[in-house]
Amino acid sequence: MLLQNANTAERFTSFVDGLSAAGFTVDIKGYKDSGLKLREYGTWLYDHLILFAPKAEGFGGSIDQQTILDFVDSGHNVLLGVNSDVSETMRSLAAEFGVDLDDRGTKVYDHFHYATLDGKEDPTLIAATDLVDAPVIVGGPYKEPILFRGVAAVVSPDSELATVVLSAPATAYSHDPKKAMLEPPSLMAGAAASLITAVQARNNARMVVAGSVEMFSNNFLGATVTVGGKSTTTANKDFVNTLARWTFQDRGVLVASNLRHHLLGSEDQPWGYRVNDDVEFLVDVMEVEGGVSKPYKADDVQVEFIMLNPYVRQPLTHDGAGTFSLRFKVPDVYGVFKYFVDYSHRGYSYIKLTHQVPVRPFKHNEYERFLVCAYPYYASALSMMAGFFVLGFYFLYNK
Amino acid sequence: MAFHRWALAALVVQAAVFSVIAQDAEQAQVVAELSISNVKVVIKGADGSAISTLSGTYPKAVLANPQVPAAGSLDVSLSVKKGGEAFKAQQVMLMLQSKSLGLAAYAVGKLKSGTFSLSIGAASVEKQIGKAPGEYEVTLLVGDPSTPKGTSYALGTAELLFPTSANAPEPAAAVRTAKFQPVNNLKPEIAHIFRAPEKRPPAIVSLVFAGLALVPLAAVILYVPVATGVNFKAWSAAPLAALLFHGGLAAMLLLYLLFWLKLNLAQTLPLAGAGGLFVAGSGYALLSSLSAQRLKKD
Repeated sequence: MLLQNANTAERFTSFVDGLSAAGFTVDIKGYKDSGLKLREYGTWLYDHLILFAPKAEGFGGSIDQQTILDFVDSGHNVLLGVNSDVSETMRSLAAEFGVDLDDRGTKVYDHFHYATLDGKEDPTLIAATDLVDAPVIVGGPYKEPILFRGVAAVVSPDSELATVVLSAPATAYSHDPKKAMLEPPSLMAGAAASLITAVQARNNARMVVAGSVEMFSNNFLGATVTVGGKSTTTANKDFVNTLARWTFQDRGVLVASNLRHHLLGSEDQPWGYRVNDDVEFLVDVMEVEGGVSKPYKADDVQVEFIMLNPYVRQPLTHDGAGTFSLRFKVPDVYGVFKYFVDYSHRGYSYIKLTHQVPVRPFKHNEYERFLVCAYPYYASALSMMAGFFVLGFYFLYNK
Repeated sequence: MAFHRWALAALVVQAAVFSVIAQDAEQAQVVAELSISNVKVVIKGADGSAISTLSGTYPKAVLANPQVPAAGSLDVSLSVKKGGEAFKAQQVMLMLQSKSLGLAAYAVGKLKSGTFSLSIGAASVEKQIGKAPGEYEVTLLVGDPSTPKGTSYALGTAELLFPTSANAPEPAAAVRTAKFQPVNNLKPEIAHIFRAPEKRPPAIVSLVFAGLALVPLAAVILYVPVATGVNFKAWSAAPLAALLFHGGLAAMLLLYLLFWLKLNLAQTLPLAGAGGLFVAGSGYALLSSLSAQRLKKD
């Protein structure tokens, strides 16, 4: 965990305690420490990285942006927290992750859904409630708002890997008071302004960019604020704990294993199929939470049977114990097919499985025989044989 | 009028509305509140000319679902005052919330000689949230960090028309929000359509022709003995050889039938070889006894 200033570690003790309770060992350092290293002689020293140093321009020791990107490429996770003083280094790191943070100096304002902390009314202290519908990332339904003070981001609408976790309220906007206000759509306003963005890379490494580092601080975790005239606590404590656990692959990890297939009526896995065979395809998917595996239950896992183009694409049904299966008839086209499972559900790790299966055509003796339309031919051949037999008699024994 | 019904959702005037009226005046606040006045809503057509002009007073709604033409715009102008003096509020925005999508598009106000003016049209909405024709709730949002609460003025609803292109495909989403983003990558289901089996002629046709094929056989069995005369007395010349020969021939024909029904060539050929030798041998014996019999007669 890298902080702006190692002396301010006590601002985050509540958050760190929550992580320790979930089984993580947190090593806190300042970002400029000279002995900083993530990697030593090719092995990574840490499993996850928390960056709470919004103003950092460069890092001490041997860490730089490329090291962090290599860290993510090797499957490790990063939790990045910034605020309105975000440096260009942090902004470009977030951009590498796929999240466009607003410029330095901009703050998210909301004159309608703000919170009053300790008697001070502050339109930049947002009481946000627009969470994504993904309990695996954010946790149980929260009645209290989540406090946020910082900078907004946008996510490209065609991004396949990024998810907006917390949206600003519809009456919010992001603005730098020292500059002129931008026009939409460059102006980040309303729900399109993402306050917390989660990105899951194709190797299942998770990166979360939170626009407010204060959201993790003790002040906000235990605060009692007034929102809209009513006094309420905040949901920050449970929310950031669940979010951090999701980021560090403690929740929402899917493990797919034991892919198998067989002809109906037999239990062994054949080397291949024949056209028009009836087959069953099975795969086991388990969800891992806190190190404990439990069966995954979902209705939207699909399998494809592909030869250049998918011939069959059907959903798999699960039996409640984590085994997903499908029964289908092999198409009447022969060639080399493959089973392809490509599953991507918001908040869960990606599942990509392929398995090749050749499909052969009918053998010469597997076709239909004795068709009614062939009776004339059978009749003529048989009558030929019978006639020959009878003629044998007539030929030998005539007058 | 009813023709041009703007369903612009209330333009939320976030400019702090003067609550000079009654309620807020009771609060002994040092900070004066913002007030909105001179609110004018103009619906402009494609050529920029005003189709209808309405003026509103906070907080009464002023738009009754008029239609905004596709290339036209909805213009709002207002003045914001704080403590009686003209004030440049930080946020003066128009929020259009689509009733069909649930997303909101925004327009930012520009201050010119004491009056804020805002303008929004279908093109700007499309750039922000994509094509979403239908009713919108128009709200005017006015706010500033120096006043405690923002002011929202619900102007009513308006209907935005979008230019319809005949061959426009379904547009991809133009924005991502927490509530408006894809949940999974489900693709349409594909079930393979198997080739329909070839059509076969009706059974009766095949049966009729099978019957026709058997007609020559009937002719052979019934007609030939009548035409040529069969004398079975010659059978007694060599009865054993005859029996063996005709039996052997019948066995060969039976072998052909079995090959057709069940056996394969590897099983059939040896049997055919053996049977053939047998038939040849017994046939030679029969023929020689028959010819001996004929010679004896002559």
